[in-house]
Amino acid sequence: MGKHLLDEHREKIWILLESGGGTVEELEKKMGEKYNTESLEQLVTGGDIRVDEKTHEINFTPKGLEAGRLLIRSHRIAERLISDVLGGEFEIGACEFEHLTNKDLVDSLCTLLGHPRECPHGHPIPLGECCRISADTVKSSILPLSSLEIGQCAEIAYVQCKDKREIHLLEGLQLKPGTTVKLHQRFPTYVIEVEGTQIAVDDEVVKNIKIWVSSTRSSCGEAAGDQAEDQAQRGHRRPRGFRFRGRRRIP
Amino acid sequence: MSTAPSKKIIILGLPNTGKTQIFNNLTGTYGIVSNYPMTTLQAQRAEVKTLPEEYTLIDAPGFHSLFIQSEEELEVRRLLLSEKPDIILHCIDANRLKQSLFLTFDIMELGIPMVVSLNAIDETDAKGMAIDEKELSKALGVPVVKTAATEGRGTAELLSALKNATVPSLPSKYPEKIEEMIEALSDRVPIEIPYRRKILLLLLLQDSFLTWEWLSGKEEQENLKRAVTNLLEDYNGNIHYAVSRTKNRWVSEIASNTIKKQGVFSDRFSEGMARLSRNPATGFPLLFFFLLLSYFIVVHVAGFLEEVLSSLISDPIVSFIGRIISDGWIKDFLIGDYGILTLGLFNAVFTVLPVLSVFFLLFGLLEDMGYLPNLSILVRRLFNRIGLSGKAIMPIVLGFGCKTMATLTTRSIASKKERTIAIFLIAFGIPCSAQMGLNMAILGNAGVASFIIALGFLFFVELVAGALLNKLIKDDASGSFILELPPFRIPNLYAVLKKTYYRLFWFLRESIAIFIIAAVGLFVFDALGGLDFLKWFLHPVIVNWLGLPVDMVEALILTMARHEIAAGFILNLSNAGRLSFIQSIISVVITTMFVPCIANIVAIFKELGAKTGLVMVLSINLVSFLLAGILNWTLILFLGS
Repeated sequence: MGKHLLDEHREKIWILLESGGGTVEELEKKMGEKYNTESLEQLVTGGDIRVDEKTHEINFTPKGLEAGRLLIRSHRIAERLISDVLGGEFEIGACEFEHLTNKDLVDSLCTLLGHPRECPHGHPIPLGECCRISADTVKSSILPLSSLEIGQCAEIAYVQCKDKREIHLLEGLQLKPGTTVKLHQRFPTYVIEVEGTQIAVDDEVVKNIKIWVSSTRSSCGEAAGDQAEDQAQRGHRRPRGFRFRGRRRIP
Repeated sequence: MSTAPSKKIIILGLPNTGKTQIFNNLTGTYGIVSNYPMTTLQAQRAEVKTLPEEYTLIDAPGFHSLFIQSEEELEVRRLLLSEKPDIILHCIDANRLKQSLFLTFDIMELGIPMVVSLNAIDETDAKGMAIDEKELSKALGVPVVKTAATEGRGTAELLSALKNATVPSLPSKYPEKIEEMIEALSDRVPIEIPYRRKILLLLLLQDSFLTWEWLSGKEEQENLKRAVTNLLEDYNGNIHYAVSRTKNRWVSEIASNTIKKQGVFSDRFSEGMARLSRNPATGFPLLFFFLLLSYFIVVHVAGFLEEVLSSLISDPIVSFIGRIISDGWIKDFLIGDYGILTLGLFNAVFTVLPVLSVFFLLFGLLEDMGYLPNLSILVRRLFNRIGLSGKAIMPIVLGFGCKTMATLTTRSIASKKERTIAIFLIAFGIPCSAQMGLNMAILGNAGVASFIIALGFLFFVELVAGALLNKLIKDDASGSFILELPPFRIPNLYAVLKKTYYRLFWFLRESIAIFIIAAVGLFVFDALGGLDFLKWFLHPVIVNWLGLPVDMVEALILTMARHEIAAGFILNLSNAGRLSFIQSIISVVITTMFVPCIANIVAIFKELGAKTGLVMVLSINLVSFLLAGILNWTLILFLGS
């Protein structure tokens, strides 16, 4: 239990610092009843955080930063997982999940989900080792829409936004988890089709729309006759779109 | 208009859902209809004559959401607040039911009596898609009428439904936490504020276009803002996600209950044209083909019409007047170089009108086919290179239709920098549809090579100007490029003819007087000796630098009144064999770039303010002389004079 309480404090301190820093009092206000002076002292003596004596401003030590980072990372990746895979209320499970901070496990999940950059709330997910080397995408279950081949369809897993306000436009166009999207054209501008409408989008938007690899299929099967072929395609776990990977430039 | 307050009906819907067509059907008036978004920029209104009570119908521009992210969508919200409509006629494109329903949610929250027009039902029928309108009506709690506006189907039913408009039920509640926040804010906003629930939600979404002034006094404003920030701080999550998730959950539910059969999208024409026009390997040749085809049609058909008309009507009249009136100022005033008949009326009707009628018809076909937005797909990457993100491209493409309208659509560009560049590029090297048609006619005598050189040059200077401006103007953030593409449709000839007719009618109504006034002005100016002085004064520029005949001074003056008058004048020079190959190109290039038309200047000032606008207009003029001269000397260098 003690560790849970400490982690709770680490997490809230991270969120506080993320929004530009804060003092002990602000932390207390944010945490409300959950706030515990002992836990904070434990973090200080444990060399995780520093508290400025005059301003009461809290800061992570390098060691604490690493711990907080892993914590937040696993929490937000868990939210992504629960929200996208189970389509459910992500708040409930994720809080428990964050305490399982096995680094390798989190990295595998991150890879599986296609290295998401933000949680379903729109908060940034700290980069992990796996994101930096950004290889291993073959093992991902989720890839950017740009990895599809022309003419292929797939189901959207989740959509990342450049600006959180953009979600209104994207979701309005039905670019949202669960809908099927088809890639029509790549150059000079991506053209995709969703719910019967074709949309031209720039490269960044296409990269930020993530699709389930297993849902990829070549015939977009509106008609019943396509079902059989659908099934066959689904059997292939690796879509042909991977051929393009070699040519893609990594910025 | 009578003084009795009439009921107001506002037409709302996503862009390109046929709102204006419905408006035209219900009112019997005409507003331009096209197969692409942003055709209607400013609301227009008319009386509905067929209803017993007095109704005013307002056709609003299309929009995606009442949560606004660019200035262009502000218009709708402004209309809702200023007009306080009694009934909403919500236009839904049946092809895009889910996308539309996402907006329907927003509209329903306003709590205004509503009727839904489920439009383009002819297309979903053809596709084999079946929507249960009764189910939809039940789910929304308002009458739903199936319409095929382009054929006029459903108009009568819509009229009777409007009498039974009902207040929709509240679509769905938001997650508890958000509802609590709305509740908490509720006390701080005056009770008489219209569309309260919607406004409260917009406050929570921190809509940057919401003006707080009318909500409350200065002090309350600050309190309100603080209350919103406090609430959001305590809210652990992204409210934008939560809100749009709620909306989409509702959309999916309604859609699954009402869409009885999904259609198969397999329109050969539509698919084929889409593929051809968007792939650069075929898209550029296709664009080139369209341009050349229009060039030849304009040159030959319009040229033929012009010849027939002048030999049948204007030439006999001119020679008749020449015979009965003896030489003198009266004769000059009527049929001289600057006569009100020759340069004014006949120029407008017998020289310019044939060209415009042919070109507007061709352009209307392309518009209704849905071709234009595809140009942005082709050129986007090129524009990216010169620093324009996607948002700026559609307005520039629309400049080929009407530059004034295109300037107004730049409101959709969030970045001020890109907006300025787009406005400049639209005003600078883009020929609007009237100008394009006339340019084709002028270059008709010089051959197709001249047409290619002139267009190629204009394209080139646009790119260079864009790149330079990009370096000059300070950077700021740019939005993503997301452009919905209208499906390719086989144009309806009757609709195109009607559109062409109205465009020509408006041209004549607006400009005949200007043609005549310009002729009179030039006549007086010449009589006073001003013209000779100006010709002497501008001789070095016009003749030595641009290599044009000195008469082009008149054309440049006329350009300031209206481009078409100058074009008509130049066309006459060209027909008289007084322009060489190079001179034809230079005169087209300079009149395209030189002084945008008055309406365009007004739009520029409106969008950028007087100071920036003035700098822009002046620099365009200066640069156009510079560049046209450079082109002249380059052509002389390569082709000889």
